[in-house]
This record gives sequence, C-alpha cells and structure tokens, in this order.
Amino acid sequence: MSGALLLALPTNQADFLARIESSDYLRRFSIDPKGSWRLTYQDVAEAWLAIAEAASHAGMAVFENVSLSDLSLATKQFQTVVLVSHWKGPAVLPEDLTDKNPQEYVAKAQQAATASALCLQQAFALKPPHSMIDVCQIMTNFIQTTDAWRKHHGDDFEVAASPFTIQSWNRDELDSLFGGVLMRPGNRVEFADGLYDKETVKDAVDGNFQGLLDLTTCTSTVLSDYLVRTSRARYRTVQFEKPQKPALTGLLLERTFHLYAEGMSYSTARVQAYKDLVKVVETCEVEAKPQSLLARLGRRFLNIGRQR
Amino acid sequence: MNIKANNHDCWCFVFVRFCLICILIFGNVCVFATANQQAQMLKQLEFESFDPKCGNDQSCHVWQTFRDTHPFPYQTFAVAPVKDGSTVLIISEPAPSIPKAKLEKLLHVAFGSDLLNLTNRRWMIGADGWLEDVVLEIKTSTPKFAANPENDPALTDRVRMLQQLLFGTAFGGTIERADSDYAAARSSAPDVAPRPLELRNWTVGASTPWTSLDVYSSGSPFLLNQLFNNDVAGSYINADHQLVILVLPATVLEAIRKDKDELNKLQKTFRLFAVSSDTILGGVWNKEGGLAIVGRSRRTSTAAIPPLRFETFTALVREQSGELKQSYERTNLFAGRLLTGAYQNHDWAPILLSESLVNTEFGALLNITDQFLKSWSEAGDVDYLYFDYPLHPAKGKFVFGDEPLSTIVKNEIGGNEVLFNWNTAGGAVTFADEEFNVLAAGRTSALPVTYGSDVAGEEMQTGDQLPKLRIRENSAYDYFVAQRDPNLARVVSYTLMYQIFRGAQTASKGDTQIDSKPTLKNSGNALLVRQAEKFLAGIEQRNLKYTNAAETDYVDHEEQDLKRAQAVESLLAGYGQQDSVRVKAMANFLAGVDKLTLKRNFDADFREALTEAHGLLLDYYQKYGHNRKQLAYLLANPHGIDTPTVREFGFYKVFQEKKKALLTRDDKNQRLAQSTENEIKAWLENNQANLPSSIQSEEQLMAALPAELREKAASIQAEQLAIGQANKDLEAEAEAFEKLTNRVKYAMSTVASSTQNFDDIRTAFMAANNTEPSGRIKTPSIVVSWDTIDSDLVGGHNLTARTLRIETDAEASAIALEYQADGTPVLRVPPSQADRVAGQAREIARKIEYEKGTLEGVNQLISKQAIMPIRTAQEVLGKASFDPSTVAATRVTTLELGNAQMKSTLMSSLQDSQSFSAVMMRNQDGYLVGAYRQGGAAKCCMLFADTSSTYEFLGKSLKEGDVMVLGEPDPFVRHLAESVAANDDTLLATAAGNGGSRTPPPVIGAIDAGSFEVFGGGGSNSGTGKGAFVGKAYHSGDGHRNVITVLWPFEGNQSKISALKLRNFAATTETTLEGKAATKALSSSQNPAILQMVKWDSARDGKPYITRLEWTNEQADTQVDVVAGLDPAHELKGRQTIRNAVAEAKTDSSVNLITFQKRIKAYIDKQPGQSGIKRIMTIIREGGLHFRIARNDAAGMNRALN
Repeated sequence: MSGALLLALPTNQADFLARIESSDYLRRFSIDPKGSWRLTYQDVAEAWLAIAEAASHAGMAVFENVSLSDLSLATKQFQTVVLVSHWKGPAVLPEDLTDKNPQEYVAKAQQAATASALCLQQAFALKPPHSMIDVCQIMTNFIQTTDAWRKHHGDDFEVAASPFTIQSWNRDELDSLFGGVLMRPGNRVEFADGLYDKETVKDAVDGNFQGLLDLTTCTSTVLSDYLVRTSRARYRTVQFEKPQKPALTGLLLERTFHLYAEGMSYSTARVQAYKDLVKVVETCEVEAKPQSLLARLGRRFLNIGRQR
Repeated sequence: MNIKANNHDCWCFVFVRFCLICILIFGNVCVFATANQQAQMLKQLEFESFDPKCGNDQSCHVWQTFRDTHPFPYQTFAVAPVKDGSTVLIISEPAPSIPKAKLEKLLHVAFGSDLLNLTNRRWMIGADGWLEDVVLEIKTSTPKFAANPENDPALTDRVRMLQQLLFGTAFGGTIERADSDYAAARSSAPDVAPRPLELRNWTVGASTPWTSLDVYSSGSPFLLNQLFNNDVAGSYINADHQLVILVLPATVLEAIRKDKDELNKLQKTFRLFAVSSDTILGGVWNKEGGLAIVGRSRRTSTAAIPPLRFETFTALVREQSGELKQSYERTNLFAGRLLTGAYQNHDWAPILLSESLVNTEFGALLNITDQFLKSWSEAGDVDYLYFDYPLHPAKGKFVFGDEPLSTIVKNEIGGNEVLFNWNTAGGAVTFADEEFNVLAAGRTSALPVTYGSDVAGEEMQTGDQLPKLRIRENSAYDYFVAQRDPNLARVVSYTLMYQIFRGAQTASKGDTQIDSKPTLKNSGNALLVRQAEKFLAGIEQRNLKYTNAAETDYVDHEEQDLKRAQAVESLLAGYGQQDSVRVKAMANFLAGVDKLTLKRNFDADFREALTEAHGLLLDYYQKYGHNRKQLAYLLANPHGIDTPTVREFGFYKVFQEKKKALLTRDDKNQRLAQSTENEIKAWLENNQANLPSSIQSEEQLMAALPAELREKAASIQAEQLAIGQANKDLEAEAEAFEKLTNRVKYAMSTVASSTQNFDDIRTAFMAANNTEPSGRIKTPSIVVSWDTIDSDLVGGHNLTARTLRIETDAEASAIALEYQADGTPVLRVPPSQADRVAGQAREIARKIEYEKGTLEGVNQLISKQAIMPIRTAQEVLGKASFDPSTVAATRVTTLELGNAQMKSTLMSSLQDSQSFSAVMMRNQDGYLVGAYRQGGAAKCCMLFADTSSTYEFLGKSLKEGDVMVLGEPDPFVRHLAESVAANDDTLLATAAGNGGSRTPPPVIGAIDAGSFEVFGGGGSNSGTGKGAFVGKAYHSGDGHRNVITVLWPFEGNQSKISALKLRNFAATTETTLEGKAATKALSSSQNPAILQMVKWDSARDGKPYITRLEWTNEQADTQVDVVAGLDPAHELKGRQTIRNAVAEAKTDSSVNLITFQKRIKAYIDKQPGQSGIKRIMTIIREGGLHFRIARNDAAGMNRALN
C-alpha cells in the first residue's frame, strides 16, 4: 500500500494568515483574517488535519502546502495520489477584472474577430457598459451561454457537454481574449505556489504514472476529464462534478483512508465510503433530528464496521 | 592426379587456358571464336534471377518489382497502384508476433470488402531458402488517392492498426512505395566509432538524463543508474537527441531470459528503440547485470535502414552459446560439383548455421553477407543462386579492383585454397571499471575480415601469420567499412547486441537458467551421416564403383580439354597464319579424340585413388579406433565437430581427458610452488641477517637455501618442465590427428566425387530440410554457386561472444595481459593509465585479437599516443535530426481513427449488429464519440465532452439495449458500466492499470478477451466495406495484456463471443438443459439485486415477476431467472402467460439456454397485445458466469419484449 495525500490549502493559522492575500481560495477571508479563521476556516483546517492523520494511519505520505512540483514527485513515487485543493472555476468575479476601465474591454473585444469576440461585441453594443459591474455582468452572461456551436469537434459530430463544461470552455475563450492584461484567468487549480491550468497540471503528472489521482477539489471534472483524455486513460482519476464542502469531503476521505488501511483498494474504498455515508444519512433522517447532524453523522459514519 | 572435381570449376579454368593457346596461335579470328564460345558457356552457367512467374497477375508484378529491389531480408509496408485502379499493399516478412492464420483473418476483418485478393508470396534467397510476404490487392478508397495510395487516410489508418498489432506500436511506422528503388540505401549505414570512455560519459554521466520514448511529451528525465534500479524495461532518448538506449534492468533481464512470455512483453519497448535508432554503438552494464544498449538516434530513413527486429532481438537475448557460426561447408564429403540435375555443372555445399540462427533474419543476413565477402573479394568471379544484389559494386570496383583474391594469393603466397571469414577479432572492446562495463563498437558498418591460405601445401594460415595477407585483410576491412552497406551494418548491430547480452550475463551474479531449447532435429544432417557411413563401409571393402557422370565429366572436361590443346598445338605447328581450312580440320580432329584412351586413364586413376583412400582409412582406424560413425560425423555433418558423437568419443575424448589431467597436474604444481615460495620468503626473513652480502643473483640465493628447500624448488621446476613437454606432446598429437583427418577427408572426398551421385544427395538433403518454419523466413540449407576460379574457397562467419576486456585494476602497477579460461583476453590497467588505454582501446583490441599481439606490442602502441580527449556525441555522431515528438504524431495508442474513418467504423459496427443501442470509441483527441439509434435509425456521431455527458448518454442507451465500447481498456469499461449502474455521484472514471488488487465484480455483458483476438467487423454484413472493427484488438504495450471489452447481449453474438474464446460461452449455453428444473417464483423484494442490476423501472417496465429455474448437473449448476414485467391492469393474465411459457419451454427435452429464451418469447408472441407482459428478459448464472440474454431489439421493435 503506498500513497500520498497532498494538501494544497493551509492546515494551521500561521499558514492561513501568510497565504491569505496570495491564495485565490483564501482571499475571500481577507477582510477579517483572524475572525474568518476562528469562525470558518479553523473547522476546515481541522478537517484537513483529520484526514492527514487518517492518511498517515493508512501508511500514506502526507504533504502540506504542496506546490505543483510536489504533484510531479508524488506521481513519480506513488501509485495513489490524493490532491485536496481548490478549483477556481469559470465564473467571472469582479476581482478577476484587473483593469477598471470598461472601455478597455470593449476595445479589446472589437480588435478580435473570433466567434466569442463577435458575441461579446454584440453584447457590448446592445448594452454599452458604464461600470465594471456591467462588464462583469456581460461576461457572466457570456459564460452562461450554453450554445455548443463554439466548439466544433470535427465533421458533423454533435457535442454533448454538461453546462459546467460549456461554461469552462466559455471562460477559456474569455481568458484567451482578455487574459494576461485585463483579466485573471479561471479554470485553475490552486497549489501553494499559485494557480495552474489543466495543461500545466497534465505536464506535471509524471509520464509514467499509471495509478489513481484523486482530485478532491470543487468541480474537478474539467481537470479530470482533460487529464484522462490526454493521457488516454493511462491513469484513473476521482473527480467531482459539484462544489465540495470541506467538512463532508473530510469525512469521506477519512472514511476512505480507514478502509484503505484495512486493505481495500483505494477506488473501492472511495465508493464504499460514499455508500456508507448515504446509509448513515438515511438512518439519521428517520431518527429525530439531531442537534448537530454533521457531528453525529461524522461519529457514526467513521465508526461503521469498526471494533469498538 | 586428383579425380575429385575441384570444388569450383576447374574445367572452366582449363578452357580458358585452351583459349589462351588459341589466341597465341590463331590470332584475331580465334579470339573472336573463343570469346563467343566462352560467352556461351558462361551463359549456360550463369544463374538467372528468381522468376516468380507472375503471368497476368498485376499484384504479383508489383510485388516482383518490389522484391527485385529488395531481394534480401527487408521488413516493411509498401504500396503501389495497379493499372485497374486498385492498390497493392505488401507486408514484407510480417513479424511473427501474430501467427500466419490469425494475421490473415485480421486482414480480412481490417479491409472487409475492400480486400480483393490476399496471397502469401515467397521470394527465393537460395535453392530452398525464402522470404515470405503477404500481398494484398485492395480497393482504393477514392480516385483521389489512386496514384498515391500511401497518402490515403483510410489505408494509413488500417496500416497503423496492423503495425500496432505486429510491432506493439505504430510509432514511426511508415508506408513505402513498392515501386521505389533501393538507391537511398547505398552508403547509408553510419560508420562511427565512439571510444569506450566516450560512450560511458554520454550514457551514465551525472548530467545525462534520459526521457522515455514511450511518454516523451510528459515523461520525466532519469539518470541511467535510476533506470537500472527501476525494474522496468524502457527505451529512452537523451536531452540533445543524439542517443537512444534500450534499458533492461537486471531483474527484467533475468525474467525475460527465463520466461518467453515476459520477453514478448518488450515488443513495443524494443520497437520504440529500433525505430528511433539506426545503428548500435555499444552497450553499458553495471555490476548487477542491468544493461543498456546504446544506439545512435536515427539520421537515416527507415527505407534505407529498417528498424532492427524484435524477433531477432528475442533470439539474441536468450542466446547461450559462446559463438555464432555460419559457413558453406565446401569440405563436406558430399559437397562439390553437381554433374547432373537441375544445377548441373554448379557447385553445391550444405550450409552450417548455428541452431539459433536457422530460419531467422540474422541467419539469412549472414548467408548473404558471406556471399558479399567471397564474391566481392573475388572481383565478382563467384556467383550464387539468386544473388542479385542491387548495390552490387560496379566492375572494377571490387575489393581488389578487378583482381580476384585467389589470383593474388596464388601469385603472392602460392596457395590454392582461400579462406574468407567475417569475424569479431578486435571488432569491439569492453572497458570495465568499478561501476560499469562499456562495450564499444570498433566500426559500425562492417565486421573485421580475415583471409587465409594454404601455403605451398601446408595447413591454412591467416593474416596474423602471413604479413602479405594481413595487408589484404586490412584493405578489405577498410573497403567493406567504406561501402557503408546497410546489410553489413545490420550484421554488426546484431553482433554487438549478442556480445552485450553475453557480456552482461557473465557480469551478473550467476548465469541465468534459460529453458533449454529443444535441439533442432536436422534430419538432413542425419541423412548425410548415414550416407557417409555407407560410403566408408564401401571404402573399407573397396567395392565402390564410379558413376557414369563422373567418368563423362572426367573425359569431357579435364583430360579432353588438355588433349584438345595439345592437338591444336601439334596440328598447327608451323602454321603462323590464319587458315580457316586448318581450323576446320582441327575441329574434325578434335571430334575424334580417342575416348577409349581417356577412359583407360580414368579407370587407372580411380583405382589409385580408391587404394589411397582405403589405406588412409585403415591407418586412421588403427590409430584412433574403428569408429566409423564418428568419422562419418566428422566428414559429413556440418555440425560434426560440435556434436556429442564426435566430442565424447575416441581421440577427442582422450585428448580432453589428457588435457584435463595436465591442467590438474599443473594446478597442483602451482600450489606447491606457491607454498614453497612462501616457505622460502619466511626462511629469508628469518635468516636475512645471516646471509652473506655477496649474494647478487637468484642462483646464488638458491644456493644459499637449505637443502630441503632447494630440492623442493628444483623438483617443482622439473615438474614444470615435464608439464610443458607433456603439453607440447599433446599438441603434437592433436596436430597429427588433424593432419591425418584432413588427409582422410581429402582422400574420401576424391573418391566420393566419382562414386556418389551428389545431386541425389543434394536433393535428399534439401527434402529432409524442407520443414515449414513458424516465421516468414526460411534460411537455405544449401548453397549453389559457380565460379571461374581454380581455387577452393572456404569460410563464413565466426562471431564470438567475447571481446577484449580492459579492466582498471587499483592493485596493478603496470599493464598486464591475461587470458581467462574461455579464451577472453583481459588487459589489466592501473588507474593512472586507464585514460590513455581507453583512448586507444579499439586499436589495442585489433592488436591483441586480430594481430595476436603481445603485451609489448600493446605498450608500444600506447606509448606512441597521447591521451585521447573525450569528444562530445555530436562531434562523433554528427548533428542529430531525430525528434520523438514529431514521430509521436503517428502513434496509435488505441484504436484511434480519423473522424471520417471513425464515423464509418462506428456506423458499420452499429449496423452490423442490431443488438446494440450505441457504439462508442475514442477519437484522435481523446474524446469518446458514440453512434446511436434514434427512431430506429443509426445516427452518428455524438462527441462527449465530459464524464457526466458520457454517463447520461450511457444511462439512456443502456435502457434501450446495450452499448459496445471499442478500443478501451477493460477496467475503464467496467467502471463506466459500474458507475452508470450505480448512478454514483462519486463518478469514478477511467482506468488503464488495474488500480488495485480487488477483482472487479462481474458486470453484465462485460467480457474480456485474450490477446489479439479480432472479431466481427465491416465486411459483407455491414455493407460499408470499410473494415470496421466491432471489437478491439490492440496491444497496450505497457506490459498489460491486450483486452477486448464489449457491452453486448449474448443473443445474436454467439459467434463473436465464441471468437473471443473466453469462458466458452457457446459451449455452455448450447448444452442441453437435461433433467428437471426446480421452479419457483420470487417476489421482487426477494431479489432486489436482480432488478437493480437490470435497471428495472416498474413504472415503465411493469411490475416485476421473477421465475427462477435451477438445473443441477455434474458440470455446473445453472440458474435462470426469467424476469417479466407485468402490466398492472392484466397482472393475473401476465402471471399465467409466463407460467405457461416457462412450463412449455421446460418440457422440451432439447432446450438449451438460447432456445429456452426463444421459446418463452415465442409463446408470448402468440398473443400480441394480450399477454399482459410489458417486458421480459432472462438472466443466467452458470459456473461462475453471469450474463443476460436480451432480445435483439431491431429498429422499432416493441420494447415490451426486450
């Protein structure tokens, strides 16, 4: 049994405070760092510490504050690699727009002749932006357009894609149009040394890796599908279509590591942990509502099948 | 008088002499007449090129054109258009990774109705040797590519698939034009010679990272030491793309030597290396035995230098012998001129080939390059059957211009027999230090050459003994190196591989135990021995009779020619001018030469020869025992001297025993000498003070020793001398034996040539060797040749595994030359001298191994030279041009087709079987693409951009029928199926490896198959003729077995499932269900797993009603669940229907699992719309199997009966 748990987000207050300005995920707490720690992030950090302990118990190597190069090393040395991190998705946030002059965006869109630029030109013409909020709104509308016509994959193939995938493509279009100067790009996974796009992550995964890469991040489907596709399914991934709640994610991983330590393969353990969770939730639902569902859920869940 | 016709045509020589006399006497007219006659006679002897007799067969003509320019081993895919608009595809010498029958089946599947014709054609490379190609005539996909089919994407897709199957990867695979010439190959082979320390520096240096060729774009670089410890074989390229290496860590090397299956897993790895390199430079191995073969990155096209072959690599990696041999056995008892038969007036001889080379590419190459050596050294005056080499040197451009070596030898040395030999003497050198052994090639474009000759009737001597010959040898080596011929270079590359493998094996902890190979049963050799025994018995009894052919030959071609010449001389004496009347008179006279006189001479000569042979034979028997069988082996079996019959009896045994006894005696004396020396040292230490200062010499010192020690030393010295003398005597005995054996051989051959019908023997020998090889190459068992030379030409290849070893030795104070027990020369070098010696390693190797030089010679050589600098790879190898990332564009990792081809494949797969609701496969960009049914019609294509859309599609499709997934790894499909079935948010997706120890649970309809099974596809059923695969046949190449994974129902696919040869589905399901079945109804709550498994939706499918039948027999328990969906409005009716249907089906004594389902459905079909049943299916468990039979839901068929 060999594996590595890579924690990209801080597990203690010092790291939390140190990275609060540079981290895309932590920036949201920057208005009141200490208060945020106490009220919100401390629970998250404890969840990470709990899974780190469970991973260690399962014989896995645990790395904190991991950088992209740690992923390379881990996939070179281990067959099971679990990355717990943050995915900066396709949504356009006001802070992504680095220039505060709306006309810069209008002008940039007019300079290009791509399909996405034409679409934006039309949107800017219909409702000329007077503020950055207007720009952000137009871009958000653009992101949410689900017309698949912008992506052609040869001949007359229909394209089946989830709305989230299409949004991610749309964001890539925007980034290629405005990226670098006017816009901080989206569709990035966070490491301690910064945000990285899927192409860079693909290159970072060791070329000989044939194991399992658990991408425990919000909406990891885009990254996961890309890795699987470009590696021709050389290695397996665990992906998540929806945003992940740290506490629940922690519980699932903790349970997974316990099962893994008992000799179950990682992939089976991952599935079984989810099934166990569902079972416990169902049980809890029929009982009287507990004061703290999560707390109770966690205790029961983690004790399933264990000797008391 | 020598009655035996010379091995080569002496009558021709006599004729030429006769002509010379004519020229002298007749002047110009006779010159004209003689030239005509000579030309006519030569024409009769000249071999015609191989004619496959193509007649009107266009594809055959294309193939002939291809083979005319590539008449020797050449593995490729080549195409050319033919006049009617179709295309000929030649797969020359397909790799044996796929058996012939299976390849043929695969080609039929791949090309479907586009395949117009398929023929296996054989190109002769000797009297009974051939190269086999598969020649296909196929429809050209569109007129656009009629003239240049090599650019047709439909064709290239298929060829890539075939390359993937044959070579493990399509990496670097090309399609050549079959009608192109071979000119690009001229002077194409590199001649480079890195020094050992350079090779070491370039490969194991701390700043030399290697990146995998397999995952070049994403692979991490590693140092060679890391790769040796990695326990995984791989092919790598260095950062500046100068070198490529094939790394075989010690554990891998051990495994592949022990287990052929393990070896076969390296097919792709080797191919990556072979495609990426164009010559072998040497090898590096560490103390543990992990090794890397080092190649120069490819600068030359694969058309000029095709990639080395995996099948040859596999033979060499397991080779255990210390020497590989090839020769034409001209001294065989029955070899010589054929006086009758298809090859009348030509010479024949059996071919000696080391067993592991028989029917291999390397064996065929050695034969051919042997012909290069002899023919080109003889200025083209020697020719061989089907020796039509397109790069044959022009007249006057042979090794010695237009002068044959045999003439040179005769003039300079006086020898009548010439030895031509390719060998390895000084051809490579191994440099060893504390960490690594580095074997470096001396020259990469040709092996060293040795010539030899008998000197005035003495034994054969070679260049190391005859300075005049040495000069010729060196010129010949330079000449062949300068040819830079791809076939000569290929022999060097394979020889280096052989030496590297053997070197690394010696260095590993112990010799690997390799499964002993079954000895080749060569019934041809046995036949020759039997014939020889019979012949010897005849000699013993002196009752042999000469044949008419021998007499005629003697009369016509030898004495008669001389008589004619004498007659011409006497008749025309005194006439100095042309005179046509006289010429006519001369001709009339010659016609009446007294043949009776000649016959009398022949009788006398024969009796004399027989008497001489008889006497020598008795002499031999008297001296060495009357072992006729052993002598027969020596005279007639090409492997004679290496056979147990020879080595373990008679003189050889006695010689070995004496030699062994002598060695034991010597060892004992050496030990005694050592202990005595110690005693003397001890005595000296103790008595140093008492010794007189006048002692100056060893003699004086000895005299001062006590008597006991002195006597001991003297006795050791005497014993040493005695041993030396005994050794000399033994060598003399061996020499006497050899001399007598040679005389016996010669005498026997003389009689044999007149009494034995060589052509009958040749025919029988060929017939005995006419066994079908498993591969596509049959090496010839005999050689047929002719020449105009009055000398015997012998020789071949001697490729020894050992090279000179130069070892750095920290304890050595000076350079020392030693020989190991196996004859390997070892030069021990103090570290301070290592750089200087390494810089001259190649020259030293030639000096020691080739010139049989001494240590003094080595020291002289070194002292003349400065320390050679370590050059960069670019300085030695030139600028690199190979870029794996561009080659990778042609890589096929799964069944990846272009969009147009993919669409065709998906559609034909879907149309081919109505069972599937959808078919999916991955496109070139890695996206899954599916074809599906909509309203009964097949639709294409849907591209799935992400996992969730894939699952959604699968979820829908699986409810409609079944989905086939082409070309994906088994675990991937299993997880798709599992995840879709579980509707699992975890979305466990994708897998290539096994990912864990857990055995995946059975998935309905998921079947995995053995390697390389191909089934279904395109063809006549689909009507598309695009040769689509409905299954997957690919080699993952990453060490995993090849799998075919399909989601499908059983019904309608029995033949395909049978083709998978898995779990014996057909046999199981078609077994009659004998005996009574226990029947019970299960409520849905009793078996929710079944319903969950089949994704039962009660609202849609009706209320489930499960009837379980259980048959128990000796083989397996069979359990059948008939799952019926009852219409809630007619539930009772439905129950009754199903009960009746089951009961009726059960009563049929011939019912089996297939017909059982059919019967139930037939019963239900009798009452359309009134059965009360919305859906029905049968789920079967038997003997660990678990599968579903569902009706083939053809377009629009009522889903209620699925």
